[in-house]
Amino acid sequence: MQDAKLLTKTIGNVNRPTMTHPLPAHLLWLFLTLAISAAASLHLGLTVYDPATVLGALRGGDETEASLIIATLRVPRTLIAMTTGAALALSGLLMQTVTRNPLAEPGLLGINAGAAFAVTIGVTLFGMSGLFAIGLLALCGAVAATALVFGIALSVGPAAAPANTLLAGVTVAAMLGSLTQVMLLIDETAMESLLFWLMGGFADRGIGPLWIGVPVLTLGLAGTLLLAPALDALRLDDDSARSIGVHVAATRLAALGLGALLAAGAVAMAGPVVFLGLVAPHLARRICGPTPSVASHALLACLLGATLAVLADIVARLIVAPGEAPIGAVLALIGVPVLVALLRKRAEVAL
Amino acid sequence: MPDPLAQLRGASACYDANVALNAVDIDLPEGRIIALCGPNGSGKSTALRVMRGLHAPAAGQVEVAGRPISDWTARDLALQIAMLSQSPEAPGELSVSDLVLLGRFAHRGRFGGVSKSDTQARDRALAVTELEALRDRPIGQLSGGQLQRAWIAMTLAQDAPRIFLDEPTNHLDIAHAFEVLDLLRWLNRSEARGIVVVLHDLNMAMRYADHVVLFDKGRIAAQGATREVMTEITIERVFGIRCRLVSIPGQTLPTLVPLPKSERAFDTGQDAAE
Amino acid sequence: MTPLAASRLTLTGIGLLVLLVVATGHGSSAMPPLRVIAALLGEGTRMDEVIVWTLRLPRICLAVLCGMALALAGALLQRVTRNPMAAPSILGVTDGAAFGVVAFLWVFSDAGNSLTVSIHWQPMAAALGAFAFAGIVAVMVRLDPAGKGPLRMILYGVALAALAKAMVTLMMILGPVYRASQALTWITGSVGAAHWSDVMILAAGLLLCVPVLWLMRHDLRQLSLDPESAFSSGLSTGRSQAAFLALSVLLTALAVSQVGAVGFIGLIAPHAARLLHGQFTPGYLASTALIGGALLLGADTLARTVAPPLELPAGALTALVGAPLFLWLLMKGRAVHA
Repeated sequence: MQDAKLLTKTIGNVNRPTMTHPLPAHLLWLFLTLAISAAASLHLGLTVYDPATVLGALRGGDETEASLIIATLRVPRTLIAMTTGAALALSGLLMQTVTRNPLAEPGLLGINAGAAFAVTIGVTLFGMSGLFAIGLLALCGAVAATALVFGIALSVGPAAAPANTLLAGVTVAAMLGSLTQVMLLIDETAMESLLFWLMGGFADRGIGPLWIGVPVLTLGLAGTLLLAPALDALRLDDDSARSIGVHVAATRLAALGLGALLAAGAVAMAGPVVFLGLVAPHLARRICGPTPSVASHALLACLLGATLAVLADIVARLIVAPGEAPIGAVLALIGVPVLVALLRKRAEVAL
Repeated sequence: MPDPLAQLRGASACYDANVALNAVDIDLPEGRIIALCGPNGSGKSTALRVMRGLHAPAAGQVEVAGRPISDWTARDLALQIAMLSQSPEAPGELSVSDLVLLGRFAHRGRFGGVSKSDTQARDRALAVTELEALRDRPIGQLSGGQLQRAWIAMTLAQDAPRIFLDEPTNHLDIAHAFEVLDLLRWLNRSEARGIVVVLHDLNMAMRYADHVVLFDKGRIAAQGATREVMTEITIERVFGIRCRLVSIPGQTLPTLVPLPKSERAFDTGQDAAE
Repeated sequence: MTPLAASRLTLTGIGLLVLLVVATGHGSSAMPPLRVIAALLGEGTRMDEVIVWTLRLPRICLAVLCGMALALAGALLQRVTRNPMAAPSILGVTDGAAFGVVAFLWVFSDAGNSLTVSIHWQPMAAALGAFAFAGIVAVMVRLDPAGKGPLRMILYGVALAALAKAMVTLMMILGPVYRASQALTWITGSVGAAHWSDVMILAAGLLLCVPVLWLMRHDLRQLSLDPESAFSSGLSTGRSQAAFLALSVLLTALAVSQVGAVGFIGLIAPHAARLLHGQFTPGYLASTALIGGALLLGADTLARTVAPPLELPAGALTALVGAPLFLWLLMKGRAVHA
């Protein structure tokens, strides 16, 4: 009781929403939704296939055009959407929890900007091409930008004060973004060839990026679950967390590092996908209420992120067919109504 | 008996669907030290917040300092009643002296700057809370006890004849807790300010309060003069513990000693911590 | 004001003035500072005066005033929401304005890709979009059954902004390519050719806000407390929060309708002022405004001189100018706070 009171105190006048359903029920229906969305993603598109064709393609064997499209295009993009969505959601959750700031999202650590910058340099100055090379460049850029942000934040204050980290992150992100933009404005051919990557998306990436994404997601999720008890304590103020034996700075740094790793993996797979990392954690918190447990939020956020990404990907191929709508825009179109509906349903939830 | 400080008739309050205060009648006398006590979640903080206009009652009448609560403007109410919330927050870079000056808001005009009476009230509040040496220190660098005193100083600088405090001894060690309560008593006895304070520690309440309101599950279990309310039977009933009031040689007031739970307490499913 | 704070404020002001003179001197025909000052004082050659007064100065003044408006809007928002990451874009104002502009370009284009009405209506469309989205956010918060605090407002604002941005992106994809690039320039933000009439609109808006801000300076300071403590000390919390939000919407709309969705200034200028002067000194807002003005002026000057004859959008350069300065301040800040 006392703990719950402390947890909610950061918001001030906090209502105490009661948990209407237990966690397993939420996990179950979210998992079912994800499974249905994934199945739908295999069926729907420019051509709609019937279940028999899809099943046949999944079993392999026949060499029809339909099987080829499903096996080499739709399965990879569905898997990539799921992995990217889960990674971004988890990354956003970690960042919002650690910084206690509802506006925190992976892009704020300079991850997307760093990746975009590295890719732009690689393509414009060194003429690199190929999805794997770009994925690798993105990963390196993301990690380098994050390292720069942490370096600055650490040199400002030893406890990696959340506000300083975010400020450093957003500044580095803005600077790199601006450099990228200037380079693209000057070199228009690069702009055309890079635009599809810079918009972010899950299509036409093959199965290769999963070799980066799946290990990163596994590592990130395992790390989050390991850190979860310490993170629960961090949701109190720093002093209270310290007093119950949590190493505040180390936990915060580890969680931010994990968040950065996850986001870097996501950007390597799908390019800069915006909005998902911001909104999925809010949805997770609002669905299950402020259970004082980061672990359950993490699981929910992963499932939600994956589901949202798959749904957005389906919509993206349908609304401007035969073209593809940018995934970020579609995510917003889907995520915003959901967020608003949930906002109206529940009172404020402590981060 | 003077005019009441606050009068609640059938007042209820809820957070979402949870009823925190259930149709209570409360009468608080003016010019005394009044303690609101009760188990966690019994509605004592909510009652204080309702009386200070921080939480709108869902039903019933609430009258403070002679007027219905909804008739007060924020500024007029601030001139009548200062309040220290349970966990107030301000940016860490604010200096102690600046924080205390924020308490003067209700006294300042749109056009005026910091007036002489503002600085005088600030200096007096700093002196009373013994914070003069720390006046230029950013509040982010204070210890828990110092910070709590800084907030109390801000509340005092408001110069209101009545002060509400929600668990002011929360982050304090026992010595500082006594200091704060001694300060409240001094403010009551020598400046005739009415004090309403939410207190966890029943011994503190017995020692310092003239009047006690005892809450239990959103209702009033007992209210009245301290010695009449704080009896072994009432406390056992409200808190679900066994206890004895023991006289200590050399002390005029008895001390409350809680005893281990009886078998009976387990049987009825009551828990001292809840 | 302490002498130190006053002298720092004066220094910032002098810095902005120097920047102004240097910026005026830069352009297709360079002019040394002395000639610029002579022209400014009406002592220069006829040619110089024409260049300075009709070509360069309107643009420079517009950049400075828009930077000031954005910076002030950011400072107000950060205080009201008690969130250091709050920026004018979180209320949906900026993206709302972008929506207004893209919708304007879309609706009033004919088959030949030319506008059927004057381009001078574009700022009006931006302002309309900005106010419409801010209004929607306000109404949604108002109608929300579960509560009203600043956090909910941020969340609604972010959600609506994302929605506006999504619609803008889709309209740009579905619309003609020529319009898309025009819209993109606007979204990045650029000062471009300016007239004294634009400058006057902005100056009038700012002049309207300054006395209001001065009268409400105690309220603004009081809002650094948590809402309950602020209310207990006598502040009508809801009313003053609403007033400051309305002010920041007004300031943002004024600025973005002229120069587009310039980012970064509203976020960073208040922090730079905080690190330079402290958040609770009387000169905080003035210093925020000066820094914001200097940032946008610096970015715009770079934008028109870095790769002539190509003009880069100033919005792409605000971060390039501001980020190193701000990071330096942030790291220097350690000495002050540790």
